[in-house]
Amino acid sequence: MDTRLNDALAFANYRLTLQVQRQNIEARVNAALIVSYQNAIFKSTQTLITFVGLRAMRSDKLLVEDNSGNVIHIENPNEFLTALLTAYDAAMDLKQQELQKLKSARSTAKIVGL
Amino acid sequence: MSTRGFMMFAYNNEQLDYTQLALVAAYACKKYMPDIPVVLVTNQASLEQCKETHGQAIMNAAWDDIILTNPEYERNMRLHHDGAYHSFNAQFTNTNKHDIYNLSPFDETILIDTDYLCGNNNLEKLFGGQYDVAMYRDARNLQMQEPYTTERWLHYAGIRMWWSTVVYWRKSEEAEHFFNVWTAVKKNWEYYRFLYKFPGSLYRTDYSASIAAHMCNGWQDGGFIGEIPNYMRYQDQRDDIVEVKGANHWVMLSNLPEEWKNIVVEVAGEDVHMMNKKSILRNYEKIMEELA
Repeated sequence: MDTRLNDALAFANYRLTLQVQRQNIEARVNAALIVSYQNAIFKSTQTLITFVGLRAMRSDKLLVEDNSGNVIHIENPNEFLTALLTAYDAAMDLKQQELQKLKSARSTAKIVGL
Repeated sequence: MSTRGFMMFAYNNEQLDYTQLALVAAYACKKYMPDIPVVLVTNQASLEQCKETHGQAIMNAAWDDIILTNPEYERNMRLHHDGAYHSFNAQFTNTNKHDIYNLSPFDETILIDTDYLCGNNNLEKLFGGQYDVAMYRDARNLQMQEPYTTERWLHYAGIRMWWSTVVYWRKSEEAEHFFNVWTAVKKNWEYYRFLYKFPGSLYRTDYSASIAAHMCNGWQDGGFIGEIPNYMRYQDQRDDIVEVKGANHWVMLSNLPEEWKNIVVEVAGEDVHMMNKKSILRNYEKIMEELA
């Protein structure tokens, strides 16, 4: 096969591996964002954190939809906020570290850590 | 406080040592959720083979209890692949999976397949949740693609599939209905195969659980079964393990029918449904070393 075509196909393989690896990191981050609180499962997002933070500050009654759309009355908003922030920070730390590693990977083998 | 635990079925056949797979799966559960007990359901012959091959010490470390059952033999031959270039047929004993409701000693149980390896503690977050029954609805392969249509729908104009690889339930009237319907579907498999229009003669618990979910929900989709968050990550039977880098850290080869699309993939920190069972068995020593 033409060397130029060979190189192009090897590059395509590298791009595909890189893309799948990025999605893998996203999957790990999504798993790390899951928070179990008061018998319900939530995903710690910026929107939820902001909403809970605001309501906690105002000492309002806090009703939040969980992942499945059930409305949960959060009894201790500050504790819930801490749980959300802990999960969010851990997930973002993980994402930052993994993306950093990926940035310096210039070959297919390096991307998957071989 | 309700009692909670994991359960798994393992019946060996001539080709596959399911108890060996169950040892790996149990070790993975204990690695990430050490406080949750694990119970094995097996038969006498498989138990004896496990004792002889692997020894009592490793069994004691893996399982908190073992329940012996003797399901009636029903021919259920399944085509397995071991990577892209080797396939084999083996008897698949899964015909009593629905009995788990009565076999479980726990108030809340998570039943997992022996080729489902936990890579984090997310499953324990299901305990005490809002649903009486929960399963995975969506899955992604190593390349983050959706499964084939037959792994998502029972028929192109039919109902959506639920994966029975992981089933959470809480002992309750609702869960009992679900397992009773699953039992009825199993008993009348030919009829339901015709009614729901799916091909093949292999008894698939994914399909019978999906039909039970559909029927319990008033012959409609959604609501009754809780969705396990995110999706189930799986390694296809045609894929293989290249290197075990840690307890939940794998480099795997994604083998597609189009060879030019094959790539290596690094998976870490996730639960993985390892459908190529022989790939687990080939790397048994290394995986157990990492999980211990």
